[in-house]
Amino acid sequence: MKRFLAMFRKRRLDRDLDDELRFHLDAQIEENLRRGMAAEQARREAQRSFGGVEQVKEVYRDQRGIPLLETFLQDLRYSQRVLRQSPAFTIVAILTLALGIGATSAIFSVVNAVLLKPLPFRHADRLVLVRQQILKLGPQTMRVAAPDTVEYRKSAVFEEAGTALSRIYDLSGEGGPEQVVGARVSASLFPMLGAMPLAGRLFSEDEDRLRSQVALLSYGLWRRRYGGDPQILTRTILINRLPYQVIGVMPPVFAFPPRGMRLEENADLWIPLSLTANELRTYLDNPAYTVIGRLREGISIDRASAEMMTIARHIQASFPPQFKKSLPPDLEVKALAMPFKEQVVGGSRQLLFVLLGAVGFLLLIACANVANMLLSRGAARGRELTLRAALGAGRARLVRQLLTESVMLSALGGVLGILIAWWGSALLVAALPGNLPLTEQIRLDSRVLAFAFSVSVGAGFLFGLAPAWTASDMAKSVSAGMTRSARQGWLLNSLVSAQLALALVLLTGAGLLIRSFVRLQTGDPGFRTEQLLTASIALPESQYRGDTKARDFYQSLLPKLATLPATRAAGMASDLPFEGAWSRIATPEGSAAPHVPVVYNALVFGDYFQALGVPLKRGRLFNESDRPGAQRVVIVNESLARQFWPGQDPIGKRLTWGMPEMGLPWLTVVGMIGDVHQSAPDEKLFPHVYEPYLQVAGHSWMRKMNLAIRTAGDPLALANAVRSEVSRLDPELPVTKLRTMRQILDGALAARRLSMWLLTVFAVAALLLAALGIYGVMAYAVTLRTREIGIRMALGARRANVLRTVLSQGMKLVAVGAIIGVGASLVLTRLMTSLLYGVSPTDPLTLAVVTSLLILIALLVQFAPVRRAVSVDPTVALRHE
Amino acid sequence: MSQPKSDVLQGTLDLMVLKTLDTLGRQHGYGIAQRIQQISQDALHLNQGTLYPALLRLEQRGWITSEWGTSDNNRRARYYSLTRSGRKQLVAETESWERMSAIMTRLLEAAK
Repeated sequence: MKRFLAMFRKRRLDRDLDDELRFHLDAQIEENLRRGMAAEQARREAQRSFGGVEQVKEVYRDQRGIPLLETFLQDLRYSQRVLRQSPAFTIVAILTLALGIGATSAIFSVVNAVLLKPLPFRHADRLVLVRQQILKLGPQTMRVAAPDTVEYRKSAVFEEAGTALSRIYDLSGEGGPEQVVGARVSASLFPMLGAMPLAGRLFSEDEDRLRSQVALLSYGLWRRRYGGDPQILTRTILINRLPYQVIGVMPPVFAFPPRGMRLEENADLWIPLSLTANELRTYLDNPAYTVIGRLREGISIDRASAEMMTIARHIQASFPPQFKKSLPPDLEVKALAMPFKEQVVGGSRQLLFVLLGAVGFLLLIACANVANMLLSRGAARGRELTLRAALGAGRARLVRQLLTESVMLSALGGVLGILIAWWGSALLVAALPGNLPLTEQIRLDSRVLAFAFSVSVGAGFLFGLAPAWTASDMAKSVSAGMTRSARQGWLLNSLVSAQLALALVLLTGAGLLIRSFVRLQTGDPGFRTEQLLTASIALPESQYRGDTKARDFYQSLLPKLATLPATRAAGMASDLPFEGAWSRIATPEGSAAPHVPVVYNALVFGDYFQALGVPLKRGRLFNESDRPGAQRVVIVNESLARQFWPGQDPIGKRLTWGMPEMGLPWLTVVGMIGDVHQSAPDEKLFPHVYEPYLQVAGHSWMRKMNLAIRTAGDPLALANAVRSEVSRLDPELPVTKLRTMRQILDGALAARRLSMWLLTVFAVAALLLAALGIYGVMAYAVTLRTREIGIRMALGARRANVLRTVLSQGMKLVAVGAIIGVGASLVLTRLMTSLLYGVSPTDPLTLAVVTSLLILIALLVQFAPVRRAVSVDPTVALRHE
Repeated sequence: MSQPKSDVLQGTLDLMVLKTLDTLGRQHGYGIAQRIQQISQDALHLNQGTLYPALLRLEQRGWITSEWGTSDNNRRARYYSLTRSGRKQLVAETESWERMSAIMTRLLEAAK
């Protein structure tokens, strides 16, 4: 340590030494003068008895401290010279490293933004959500029903708490009809999050309590729809056709609720929560309300969960008696507190870790490649190093010099890599699926730069240490004539095998994702996705109160759509495939077992099944006879028939919503259709009950219907006709989500597509690097063995023999790499189970294909060096040095 | 240069410095050099300059410490003094020197 410090205090120490030595000489001169010498003689005599002043200083300085910085600068200058001498090597090495470091840093910038940074709210680490769970309905957690929000928010574990409810809202009036995502929020919510409006003010408690019709706009909506109107705060806008006074505009960075909470778009609009009396009476049903609280300092998440659980029990105990009677006796509502961040990013974690792992592997392979190159060069530089060793450079000194070279390489690679990362993360932001949260936080901030820097330096040491060690080993121990030590050969070989193994793991991961994706793309979703136009219509409650108005609207719209020239079949449903559906409790008639299955429920109208192309398996589809007042009928899917009436014909069987004691009407099954992937193409099939739209009454969701139109030609060519038919009936009504079923499917698979592409790109890059690695080693080996091969051939060895020997050396490396790679794949692909669909993480076919691919590529790249080996001319070879 | 002088053996200089500091107490480099020269009655061929790396070496080993002070003639000078571990080292080295010289003496006597 002292020596290290000495390096920095160098100048002062030098002055001290000068002083000390001058004092000595002066004292000696004085003494000599006292003895009677003349001035000149006294000085000369003093110097003679002292010896060489400069020499002493040199020895002294040397001993005082290792002049680390100086040698480092010296090494740096030397490295720069060496690297400039072999530009091809330097460029290839830097590019390889830049690619690895750049890709790793780009992925890390996403991981940093999504997983590492806190949510962009005040005291975000203490924000929690209240989630409920009814184990009878499954392990998933839900939000909270309206009356319960009040109870949870009162809890003493919260410093502050708020409630939000996301909804789709109609905007109309100036600017035309349109739908936007919005949220009803309690007045307490935004202050708790630390959000401040860009202009205007937030809601007051009074406005929340008094149901004031006031609204906050997002920055984006203000710019887009209102042209950034500076007078916006004086304007009244129509939300669901009711007038709202604009009181504020939020800043551009503000996003609540953040994406990732099952919403693909950020909210554009906020109005006061103002829970209605009706909402506050809806027990247990409609658990759609988000309760967010900020825990008091020092309250653990477990403690908060226990508290929520107590409140949940209390809520259940205080249900009104007649409501309690209608519940299954063993129904239990659990509640817990979940970190807000976890709820937002939890679903993205595995994907991001798999990508980071994959890109880390790529970086390792790149490092191994550069190490390979350095090893081969180390041999070529044997003479130079031996010379330096002979001139007195210690081993540590040589290693330090070589390490300086490799760190310099990786630092240059790092600089270029940061450029690649900058470009790459911009590309990623554009390509990332909309449901990945917090992507707006992605930037190359100090943490990403620090990461890139450490990775660069780490990589430099990683790939530099072994080659430097062996090279210095050689230089110290062997004469300049010998060029290759056994250890170096061993190192080269293991590096190549390791590269192949890593590449194989990446290939396997990519292969599994590709297979999953192909399964999903070509797999049968239960209907025909081609030539299908879809759209969504939501009738505003203010104009379409009651059942009949909405029913009249759709009854007049449907025939118009069905008779458009390009229409083959037109229908509607409350929810389209891949978009989920209403879950309800249903009980089959005569069911003895007290189980409460949950099934999907959808209303359908018109030729919905024909439009989708869902096959009818038994019975009939709905027709005109299924009118209001007629026998209540339903169509079920095969999954439901299997679950409710295993091994029986479902036609004519009956079921009811909820429990039979609730006295709801019995519904008779008239048809059974094939299973359709209702929630997502990659989720498992679910029992489903379809009801005829006209027979159902009193649902608020009857106002929102989705159109499905099978067309003769390009579905989107029909979009304008659909829009004009709707506006002929109601000019203020927006038609949204006008898109083809293909587009819906693509959207649902966007995250998978991206991860598949990224992993494939990484795997291909890895394969190329590994191929390059084995090519280099084989070419080098053949060069070294040219003489030996020449001798063999001169002694009569046949080409086939030579071919076999050379090839077997390469293939041994490939075999070792493949075996380790397969073993590692079997372990590591388990970590990506949730990203797979329809293939097992240890899928033998994928493993077989990628292993063969790897071996094939390895064989191909060996072709050139091996051919060179067998075409060796013995006479030339024997002269080869 | 008329009479033969001995070169200072590596290691013996350290012992000389330690012993000198033990005898004289706190002393500067020039003083130490004078003392060694004086005791050896100029029989020793000592490049006084080599004393300084030796002083640094002893200091790095923790056997002596140094501080800046003022000399008799009012000049800034660096003063060295023995540390506790330096004293122990002196004892140990003196013993081993004596043992060594006894062996050498016996060896040379026997060879006569």
